[in-house]
Amino acid sequence: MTAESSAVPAVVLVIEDEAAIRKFLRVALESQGYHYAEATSAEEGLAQAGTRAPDLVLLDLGLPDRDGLEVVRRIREWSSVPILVLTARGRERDKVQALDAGADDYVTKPFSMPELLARMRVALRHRARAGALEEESVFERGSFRIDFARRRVTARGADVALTPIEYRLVAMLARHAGRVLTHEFLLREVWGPSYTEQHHYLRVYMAQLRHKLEAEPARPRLLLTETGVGYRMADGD
Amino acid sequence: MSDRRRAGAAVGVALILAVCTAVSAWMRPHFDFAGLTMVYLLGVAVAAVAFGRGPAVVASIVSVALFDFLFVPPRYTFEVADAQYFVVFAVMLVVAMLIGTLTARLREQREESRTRERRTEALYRLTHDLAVRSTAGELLRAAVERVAELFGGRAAALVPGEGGALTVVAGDAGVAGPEADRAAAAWAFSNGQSAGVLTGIPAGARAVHVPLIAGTRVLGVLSLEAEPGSVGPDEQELLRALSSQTALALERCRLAEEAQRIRAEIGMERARSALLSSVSHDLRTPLAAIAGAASGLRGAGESLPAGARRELAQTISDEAERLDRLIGNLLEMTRLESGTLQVRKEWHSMEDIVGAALTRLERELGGRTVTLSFPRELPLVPADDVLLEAVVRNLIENAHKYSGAGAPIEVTASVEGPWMRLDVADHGIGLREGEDRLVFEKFYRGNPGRGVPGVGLGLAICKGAVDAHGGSIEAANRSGGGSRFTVRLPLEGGPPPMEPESVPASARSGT
Repeated sequence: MTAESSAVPAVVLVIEDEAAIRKFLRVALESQGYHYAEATSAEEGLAQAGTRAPDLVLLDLGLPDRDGLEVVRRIREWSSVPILVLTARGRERDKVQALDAGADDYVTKPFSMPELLARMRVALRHRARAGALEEESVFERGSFRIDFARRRVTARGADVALTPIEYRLVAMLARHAGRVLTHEFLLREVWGPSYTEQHHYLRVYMAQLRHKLEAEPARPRLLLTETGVGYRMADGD
Repeated sequence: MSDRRRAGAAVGVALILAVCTAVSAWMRPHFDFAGLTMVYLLGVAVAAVAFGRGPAVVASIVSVALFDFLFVPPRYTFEVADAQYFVVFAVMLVVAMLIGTLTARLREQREESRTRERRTEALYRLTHDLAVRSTAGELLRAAVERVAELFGGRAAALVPGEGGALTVVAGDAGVAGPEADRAAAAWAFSNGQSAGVLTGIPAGARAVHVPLIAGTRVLGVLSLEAEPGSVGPDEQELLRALSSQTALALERCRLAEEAQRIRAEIGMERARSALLSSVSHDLRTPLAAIAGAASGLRGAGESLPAGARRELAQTISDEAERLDRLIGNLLEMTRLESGTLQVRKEWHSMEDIVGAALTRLERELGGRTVTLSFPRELPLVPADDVLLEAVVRNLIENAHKYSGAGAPIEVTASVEGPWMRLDVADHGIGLREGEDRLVFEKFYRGNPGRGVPGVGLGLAICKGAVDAHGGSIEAANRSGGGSRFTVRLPLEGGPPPMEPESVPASARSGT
């Protein structure tokens, strides 16, 4: 598979201070047909992000010279380039903060190459779609289908009756399929800004949705939990 | 001698002399003066036995005076007709004094030996009491009880607390309550001398405060508040003896605790080195596999068949994952133990958390059947989702590691009173006798020889995380074989109420 099978290879800027990680990322990304660019510090990364016009940024949050969150915010001041952050395990707070600062997604170190490539594809696809004039009107994932125009939800071969909030929640996740959405983001977007602390709303509605949409609610295949961070609609591939 | 005792003695002496006089008056017509003096001498002896030296001396003088006044002619005057009577008086006085003094000394000796006996017995009983106590607190309580009982008052023991200030650790706190008594206790503690009511340090104190001294160290203060006047020099002496016994026992206790602490430290040191060797072994094993497989790929990469290359690559990725899990567990344990971990409780659904744990374990569990049983109306539970997922993951992983390939694992959630209960049950090897507590100890491994990978941290992390939630975790064998781990988390009354959503007829508005 090549980088989104586009004629011009996508430029991926890797901002990472560890030489070993840069090395294997370069080998793996170039073998996948991406154009690889690298920076070893936040300062250099910010400069490169301006001059190289990357299609995607892979940013290590643990840079020596500057807080990774600040790099995300600085890039977001002038660019909507997809940013994937690389974080250490057990730092759920960091992930949430990076997502809130404008990162598109995260990958936890140590990660596997297929996992990273899948996340990159999702981020690039969303970028491409955001550029398109119209949003897709239908979302399909196996036997699950949302017809946005008709507000119609089908699962396992039958129409499913959803409450307006259930619909808003599942539609929000589907529109960002493959990307993790934080608890606060979902609460704000679906219920409103005064609900961002009311986590129990989200839990109750997610449980209801799973019981309506999943074959086995305790083993979800569509609506995935990212513990400590948020929820993710399963990606297609 | 107290006023009451003095008055009693005076009345007693008066009675005795009255009796002597009556007997003498009856005898006078029939006996000569020598017989009458004998009666008075007997009276003096009785007074000495009953009331001691002072009253006996008084009785002697009064006897001579009475004898002179009542019986020596001319009668009813102190005048004496014949000079020879002076000799009689002198002899009578000297003999009376001698009898009185000797008898009184006998009496004093008897009283002294009785006091000594009482003191010896009190000390013996205290020593016996103290010998069977093993902690400082128990010991001081026993001493305080004994002292209060012995002196019929209120007693308390004070020792320096956290900040060095004396605090009552046993007995009646009221004894050291008043300002003056607090000051007296502090003075006794810092000067190593008795203070309080008998010493006048400071004025106004109501209790006696005796320092507890062992060797050169002042360990605390024993305070006694008794009836005014009931604690004399003798009693104070006894109190000092009791307090030095108590101090010695306290010191013994302190030394025993010190020895215990040192033993524990040695034990911990040993455990630490065992841990180090265990951890370094567990860290090195996957590293060795990774290094070996990688060098194999590098050295003979081209000549190896594709299947072998894939296998080596798989080894590298599996072992790296194992290493990552191990390091993750070590970090988690450190964080739980250091107390820096913050439990971020939010309302969570148990189903959600178990689902996330299963997703993460998917590859490791392979084809293992995990049956889930969740009631439809299970309430939300206040929990830190990251920690709780780690608990569930470790419990399922543990069940997986210690049970045979095809045996299912059963995960059940239920409400039990104010608790959310989660059971993870397996059909594995079960727990051996006494293991139900041991399994939650750090670095404890069930059957270390069976080649089950791990360092024995998973269940310790579970316990740490559940404790941090205010919950409990326990392990038991199932009747049909295998083990069951039960977690209980407080439901804390359930989440705040939710605004109801007006449900429309159908969301399929487009049809």
